[in-house]
Order: sequence, then C-alpha cells, then structure tokens
Amino acid sequence: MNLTFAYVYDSFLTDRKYERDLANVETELARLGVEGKVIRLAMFRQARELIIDAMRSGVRNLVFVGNDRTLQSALPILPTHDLTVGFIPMEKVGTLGREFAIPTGPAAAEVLAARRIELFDLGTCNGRPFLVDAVASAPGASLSIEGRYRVGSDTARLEIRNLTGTRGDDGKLDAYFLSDQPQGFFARWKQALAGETHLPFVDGELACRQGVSLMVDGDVMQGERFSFGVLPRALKCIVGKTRQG
Amino acid sequence: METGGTVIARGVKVEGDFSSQGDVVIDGEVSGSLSASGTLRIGSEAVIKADVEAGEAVIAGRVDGSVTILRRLDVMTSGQIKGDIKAETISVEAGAVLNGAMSVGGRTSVPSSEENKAEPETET
Repeated sequence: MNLTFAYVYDSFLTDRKYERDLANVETELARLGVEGKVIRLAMFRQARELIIDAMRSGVRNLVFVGNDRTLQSALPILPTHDLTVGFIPMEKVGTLGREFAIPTGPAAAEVLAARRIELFDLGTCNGRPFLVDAVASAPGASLSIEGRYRVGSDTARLEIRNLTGTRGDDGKLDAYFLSDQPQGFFARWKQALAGETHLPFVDGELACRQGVSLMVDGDVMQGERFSFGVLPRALKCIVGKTRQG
Repeated sequence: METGGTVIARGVKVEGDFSSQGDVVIDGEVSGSLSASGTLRIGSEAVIKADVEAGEAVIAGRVDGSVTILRRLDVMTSGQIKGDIKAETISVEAGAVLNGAMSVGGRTSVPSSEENKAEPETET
C-alpha cells in the first residue's frame, strides 16, 4: 500500500452497479503501486476529520472517487489546499474528467500513477471555494466588477465560470450573460453561442434586492449579495497528459 | 482590466468606467466611459453614452460622447456619433450621421497607458 495516497469514495458507490468497476479500479491501482487508504463519505463532518487524520499519517495525494460533485463538494471542507488532488470519475457524464483529461473508471489509474500535476485557480463566492462555476437565475441582478463598473440584464442568465471553457490558471473569473436569442451585428467575430456577453474579472459583487439563487458547483446558495474572488493557482491536481492547459 | 475577447451582447447594460486591454464587441448599452486598447466594434443596436477611446473602431450604432481613435475609425451606414471625433484615418459610409468637430490625421494618443500628445490638428 502506498501511504502517500488516500481515496475518498462517494457514498453513491455503495450501489451494486458500481461494484465491478470499483473492483477493477482497485486492481489497477494496486498493479501500478498507487493503492492507498480508503475513506468512505457518509457525513461531511466525519469526512473532514478522516481526511485530517489521513494527512497526519503522511497522505499527500487525496483522490476523489465518484463524480464531479464528489470533488466539488469536498473543496470547502479540505483542511488545506496544499494537497495534491486526484480524481477518478466513475460516471461518463460530467465536466471534470474532460477538463482534467482523466478517463472514466480503471483507466484513470494510469493517470494517477503518472502523477502529472497542474495548478488551477479556485473561485470564491462569499468565501466558499468553487472549482467550475456559479450560475444565477435572477433576471434583474447586477454584477459590480472590480469597483469600476456595473453590468446587468433583465433577461439573460448569469454564469460565473472559473474553469469550464476557460484557462484554469489565468487568475481570473469569467462572467457570462447568456441569452437564447440570436443577435449581433458583429456575430462573425463572436464565439458560436449567440447572445453571449463575456467579461473577465478578478473580483466582483452580485446584488439583487429581490434576492438571488446561486448554484455554486451544484450547491444552492441564496441571498441578496454575493462577493466573488479568485484564489490563483490554489489547487494542485493530477491531470492526464492530453490535457491542454 | 480585462484581456481580449470581451463581448457585451444586446440586452446587457454596463454603467461606469469600462476598459479592456484587448478587443471589445458591444451590442448592448454602455454609459460612463469606454476604452479599449485593441479594436472596438459597436453594433447597430448598441447605445453608447460615454466618451470612447480605442486603438481602432468600427461603429455601426449610436455614440453620444467624444470618440478618440489611435489608428483607423470606420463609421458604418447605421452609425451615429454625437460628439467630437479624433482619429488618424477615418472612413464614413453614406447614411452615417456625424455631429461634432472632426480631427483626422496626425498622431492620436489613446487608451489609458499613453499620455495625450499635443499635435497640430488637421481638419477635413
């Protein structure tokens, strides 16, 4: 067993349909010499303590086994971001496997064994770190950017992206106001999506007197005001060799 | 400051001091001030209530404010500018509406990082 690796299994993996794939993953990890301690997620408070215990015993590579939510929801509870994080996607649906160039299931073990590491920014929303994006469903909300100007739309939805479709370590978030209507005198100069406003920024504040419902990496946050920021290159991740960073 | 690829689509409003180090495309509304070191494209339905500075510009919408362009300014048929214009070169399509003093030719200093240089103005 490799004492520097620990594997955090999401609770949904107890379903019997994952039994064979998990066994194959564990076989591959052992074959490649990167099998390690297993931590099974049940309650996040317990998980945080288990992770801290694992780190005290020398774990330096924390691998999340499950789906995008397994890794994303763990970010706020990681005791430190000075860990190397890995990911084994067990479902084909998802963003992070593609972003990190990590194949699904047993084939991910080779990526872990190669241990190619890249640094990624983390976004923050009211201090909560997020990896992929924060999506607002609040027409009429306005985003104040870097204290310099304010942007709003009565109809478009707002997405604040850290990772998806952008570079992961540019030290910026990207605000997108998305509309379904095709538009634009200069459409040929724009990306494929019609009606897309794109504004890179470093810090900003989203406000709406009627309140805003935000989906931050899959978790719902509600309130009238949200502050956004960036933790540049805060997350060390094991990625596949085909990742285009 | 943003870098490259900034787009403000129709239906989106910006208020304040907006600046970009790259190219900017605007189909929405901007009020305050607007500057882009690269190429600024103002769409036919865009409404700009701001003083505009850019490296180059193609204007097909409405601008209420001064326009200062370092290199080339193209004003399309649907373009309307209500304010003074300064550019190194300018092209104006038939039908465009310009209402203000125009200064064309000679060096024009612009966006943010450059000081304004006093140059003799050439009226056209």
